[in-house]
Formats: sequence, C-alpha cells, structure tokens
Amino acid sequence: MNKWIRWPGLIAFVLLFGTLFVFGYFFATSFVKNSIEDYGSEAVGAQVNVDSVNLTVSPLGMRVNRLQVTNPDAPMTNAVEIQGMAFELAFWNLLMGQVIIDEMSVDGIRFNTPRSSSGAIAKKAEPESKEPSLMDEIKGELPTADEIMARETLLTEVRSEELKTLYEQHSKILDESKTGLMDQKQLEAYQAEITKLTTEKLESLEDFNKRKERLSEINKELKKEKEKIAQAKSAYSTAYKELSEKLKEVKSAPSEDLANLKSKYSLDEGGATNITRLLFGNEAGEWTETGLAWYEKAKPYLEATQEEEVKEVERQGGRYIHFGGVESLPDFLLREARMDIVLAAGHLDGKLKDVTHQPEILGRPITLSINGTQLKGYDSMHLNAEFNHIDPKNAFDKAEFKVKKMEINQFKVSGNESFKLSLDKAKADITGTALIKNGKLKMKVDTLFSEAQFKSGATSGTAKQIGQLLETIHQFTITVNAKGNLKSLDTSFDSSLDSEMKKALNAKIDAKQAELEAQLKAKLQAKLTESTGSYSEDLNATLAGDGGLDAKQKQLEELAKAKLNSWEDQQKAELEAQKKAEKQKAKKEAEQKAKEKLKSLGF
Amino acid sequence: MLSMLAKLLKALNSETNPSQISLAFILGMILGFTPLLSIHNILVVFLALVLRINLTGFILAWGFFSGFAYLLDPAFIALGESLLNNPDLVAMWTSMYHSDAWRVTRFNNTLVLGSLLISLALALPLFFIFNLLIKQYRERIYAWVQKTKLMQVLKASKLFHIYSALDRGGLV
Repeated sequence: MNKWIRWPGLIAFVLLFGTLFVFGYFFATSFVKNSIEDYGSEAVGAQVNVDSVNLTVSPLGMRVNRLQVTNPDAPMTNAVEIQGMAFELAFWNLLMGQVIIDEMSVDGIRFNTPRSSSGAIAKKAEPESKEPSLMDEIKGELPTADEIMARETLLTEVRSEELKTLYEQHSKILDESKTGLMDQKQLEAYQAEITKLTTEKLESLEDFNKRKERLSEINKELKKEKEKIAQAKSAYSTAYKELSEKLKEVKSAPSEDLANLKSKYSLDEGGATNITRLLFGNEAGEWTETGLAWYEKAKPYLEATQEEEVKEVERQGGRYIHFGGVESLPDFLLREARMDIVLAAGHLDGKLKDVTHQPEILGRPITLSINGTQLKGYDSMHLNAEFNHIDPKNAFDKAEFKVKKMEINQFKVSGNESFKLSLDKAKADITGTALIKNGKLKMKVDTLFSEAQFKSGATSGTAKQIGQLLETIHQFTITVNAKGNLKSLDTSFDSSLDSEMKKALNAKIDAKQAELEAQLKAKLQAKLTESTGSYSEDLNATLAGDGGLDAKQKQLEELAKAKLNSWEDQQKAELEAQKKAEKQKAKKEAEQKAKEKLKSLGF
Repeated sequence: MLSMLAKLLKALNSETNPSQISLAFILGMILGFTPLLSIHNILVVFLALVLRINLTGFILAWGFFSGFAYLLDPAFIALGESLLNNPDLVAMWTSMYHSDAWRVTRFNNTLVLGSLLISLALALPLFFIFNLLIKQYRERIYAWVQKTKLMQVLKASKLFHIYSALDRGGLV
C-alpha cells in the first residue's frame, strides 16, 4: 500500500487548497472593492468609491458599504450614493463558474449628494459648447432680428463661405493654368518671325532648310501653347460652371433663410409653439440630455454579449448544451434587486430584475420598476422600464412613467432681468413613454398643469403682454415629442399656451412679425453683400469672360496656318518668271519689228 | 526547465517503477487535455499528490499535453457535440442535468465532455504503452544512447551537469 500512497502528498493537497481558500477569503473583499471602483470609474468617467466590502462564508454572500458614484459634470457631487448593498451568491453555480445572485437589497439610494473630496479623474479635455441656450438669449421682448441672426446658422453665411472657398480654389487653379502662357508681345514676335520666314526670298536650299526647321520649331511651340490654352479654357469652363451654380445658391440663400426663420420664429400657426419652447425648452432639453447621457453610459452593459476581440491565443471554450427542465443561466445574473430610493419627497421602492450581460441565454429582458406613494409634494410616481436585448437584432429599451399631482412651487421659468417669469404654483400630471430602438429615440411626454399661477416681472413691451396673459392662464398642457438619433434629437413642443397666446396677441404678433421679417430681410441682404463683397468684382470678372483665351487661341490658329514655299517651287517660279519675261521681251521685239515693217510699207 | 528534464531522465534511468512514471504521464495528460478549471481536475491533482507517482513527469506531461490540446480541441468539441446531441443519450444527459452535482462537473460543455472522454479512453492504452516504452528504453535504448555521439555531446552540456549535480546530491 505504502508503495503507492504518498501520505505527505495528502498534506500538500490540503495545504494547497487551504491556501487558495484563505487567500481567496482575505483578498476577495479587496478584489471586489477594487473591481467596482476601477470598472465603475472607467464606465462613468468619474470616481466610483466603495467604503468597504464584507464577505460572509455561510451563507456565501457579500455586503458593499457606501457606494458613491461621482457626477462627472460636478465632481464635488455624487450622482448616486448607495448606503449599502447586500447579496448572497449561489454556491453551486459559483462552482460552475456562474455568479448568480438571487436577491440583492440596495438601501438608501440618494441622488446628488455632496462629496467630501473631488471625484474627478484625469481625462481628455473636451471642448465646451459655447452655444448660448435659448433661455440665456431671451430678453424682455421676443427675439430680435439680431438675436435670431446670431442664434441661427444661416444658409446665407454657410453658402457665402462655400462660394468664397470655391472661388479661392478656382482662382488658384486659373492663376496656375494662366502662368506660363504667352503674352501679346511674344505672340507678335512670333508673328513677325513667321512673316519674315515665309515672305522673304530664299537664298539657297540651305536657307530654305534652315527656315523650314525654324518654322517647324515655332509650330511645335505654338502647339504646346495651344494645349496650355486648351487646359486653361477647360479650367475656366469648370470654374464658370461651379461658381455660377454656387452663386445661384448664394443668391437664393437669403430668401430660403427668411422662409426658415419665419417658419421657426413667426408667431402664427406652429410658430407660437416657440413661446413654449423658449419658456420650457431648456429645462426639457437638460432633463433629456442628462437622461440620455446616463443611458449611453449604461448601454454597453445592457447589450447582449458581443464577440470580444481575441487578444491572445486561447483554447476554444466549447459550448454549453442545455437540457430541458432547468433554467439556462448566464455567467452573471442578478435575479432581483430591491431598492430603497431616498428623495426629498420620501422613499421610492424599486425593483430591478434579471440583470445580466447575456440576456440571450436567460431569455428574459432586464426590467425596472419604481413606485412611490404617499410622497411629499406628489400623489404618486411610477416608472416601468424594460431593457430587451434578448435578440440583438431586435433589441429595444422602453420606459413609461406617470407622475400624479406633482406640486410645483416657485419654478423660475425665466430669470432674465427684463422678462422675469415664474410659475409660482401648479400641479402637474405627467405621463411619458420612451422607446429606443436601433439607436433612435421616440419619446412623448404629456404634462397637464392645473391650478397654475404664473407671475411675471416684465414691465414693458411684448414681454409684459405675454406675462399678463400667462397670469390669467391656470390650466394648460405641454406635450414634448423627441425623436431621432440619440445625439441629434429633433424635439417639438406642443402646448395649449400657444393657442391662448395666439388669440390674445394676434394683432401684435402680425405687426411684430412683419417688422421682424423686414429686419431679417435687410440683414440677410447685408450679410450676403458683406460675405461676397471683398471678391465680388473678381468673381464677376471671372464669370464674365475667359481672360482673352479665345482670342489668343484664334491668333495661334492663324499663325499655325503659315507655310514656307519649297526651294524647288521658288526655282521653278523664278524660271517661269524668266521665261515669261523672255517671252514678253520676244513678243515686244516681234511687235516692234512688225510695226517697223508696216511703217516701211507706208502704213 | 532543464532541471526538470534532468529529473525526468534520472527517473527514466533509475529503478523507479515504470507504472509510476506512466501514471504521472496519464494524469498530466488528463490535466492538460481538459479545461483546467474543471471540478474533475481537483481529483486529478489529488491523485497526483497522494499517489506515489513521478511529479516531474506529471508536470512535464501537463505542459506538453496542454500545448497539444490546442490542436485537438476541434476533435474534443466535435465529440462532445455529437454525444450531447445524440438522441439516444438525451434522456441520460437530461437526468444528469437535473442534478446540481453533475452540472458542477460541466459535463454539458462540449469541450469538457469531449476532452475528458478522450483522455479517459486514451488513459489505459497509453498507460501500457508508456510502461512498455520505458522498459524498452531502459533495456535497449539507454545503453545504446550512452554510446552515441549525441550523448557524448550532451554529457558535455549544461543539462548533463545539472543532471549529474542532482544525481550526486541525491536530489533525484
């Protein structure tokens, strides 16, 4: 027996696994703490801190004490602070390599709590948007033409800039193509030389050959010049075409701008909604932005497992085949987390279910429900959300929420000096739905404000009128629709305030609108002149002609027609001329003789 | 690594029972072929430590067969797939699947099942083959190897010095 059994090996085995267990027990807590802090910070973009982690062996579980998630936009504030999270792990599943948490309790969830130290982490500085918000820009009156011009991206400016760039590009090309072309003097010199070569008398065969050779050289040079001119003409033609088209677009830009601005800012029909947008748009925009920013952070963890890039050679893992009767479990699953959310209004109960990064294995979506009743300042609050990534091709996230009788007190709508407006008191019933599918959001939020009491501080102008009107309105609705890509949402506001305003302010609006239109028109025209003024003369000159290239081309064609008579031809011509002269001389002599003979005969 | 090879050579050349070396190779093969973090490997390590086998041979075999496993994985997976999907066996797998203890073994993973079954199937024949090879080595090859030029060169090498040092020190 002892020949085959090594008893010290038994001690070694116990020691080996005992060490692993002790090591695991003592280091698991710091491993979990560091993992939460490191991965959390990376995901959020700001510090995530955990005070401590406690491990219990029987039952196997863990408690995370005080988790703080810094708001990346305000490092001295926690976006979320959780007093404690406790959960138990399924031991058998852990042996199978699965982290399965049947139930987790999350206590004391608070938002926007102060931090004792900054939770910022070093990151690349991102340029801040300098675009002023609508509320920053609103003044006592409705937006002026100048404000609109400053606020909006105008086609006039954009197209003028494009025309300028295009003109500069073509100018450069045209200048380059014209460089090296013969000038008039050079052409005249060629003309003179060709005339000399072709008209002066040939002295000898050698003289003829020399001239012929020179004429051939000149022809070659002229041919090259013709090619250059053809290229320059082609460049001119392209420039003419493109610049003409762009100029046409630039000329039409002011009227298009005016139409766009009228549709956006005019106070008739849909334009009146801009009042709602101006008053409440910023708040709605900020809430939506904040919500989407946090959604973007959470999104990678909601999606079904993607094939990860293989960084090193690993053994193939095979696959698990599941048989009926037992639930298929992913590598990580939090079956249910009960949450206690602490707001100033009171406590909300939350339930988060089936959290996993492998929903395709579990076959159930992640669900979240938050409910609150008997809240201070609210009748009730309900949120239900579903993050369904079971089928990655048809993944969607949806949420619906309902807030009943939310009390609004001293809500500052506009703090602008000349247009102070606050909603002193109101009750709001809010219902909303949101669906995100294929990266696109479709959201609708209906809010009914009742028992509303506006208070306006405007003392003059349209602002005063709007303020006075709002003070008489005690019930109104606002519907916000947002749709489109998450990063460029198209939002629209619909409100009963608009029709109320329209009725009351119709005449004023028409006059104001006409005035605004006239101002906009003048300013757009001025903008066009300003944008194209510096080079408009050169541009017109470019478009007016081709820089005399046509005339030059004709001149070259004429020159190219010049021909040199051959030496033999010249000799023949001379011989024939000599013969002719001799013939004429003989003829004259014969005539002379005949005359003399006739004379001698007495005629 | 060199000292481990030297230890193995020492064991091969000594009077150690060939079965103890063969069994070490077999256990190393099971550990190397099957995914390391499988529950059955605790038993393999237990046996390797408690049974009087050649630990050097076990560790070297583990390393060797782990590398070899990369090539054989497709075959292991294919076998696992065919067995787990075999309609005649589904009833058995299902009843095993309903037991937590069986599921802990990860038998329903194609690689675990395929590699473990192939390892077990190879264990017995390889045990006898290794035994035979070790005996043949000692009887025929060892004497011949000692005379070869290669062995002469090796004797002058670092490996041989380590081997000698271990031998002198009685460490192997």
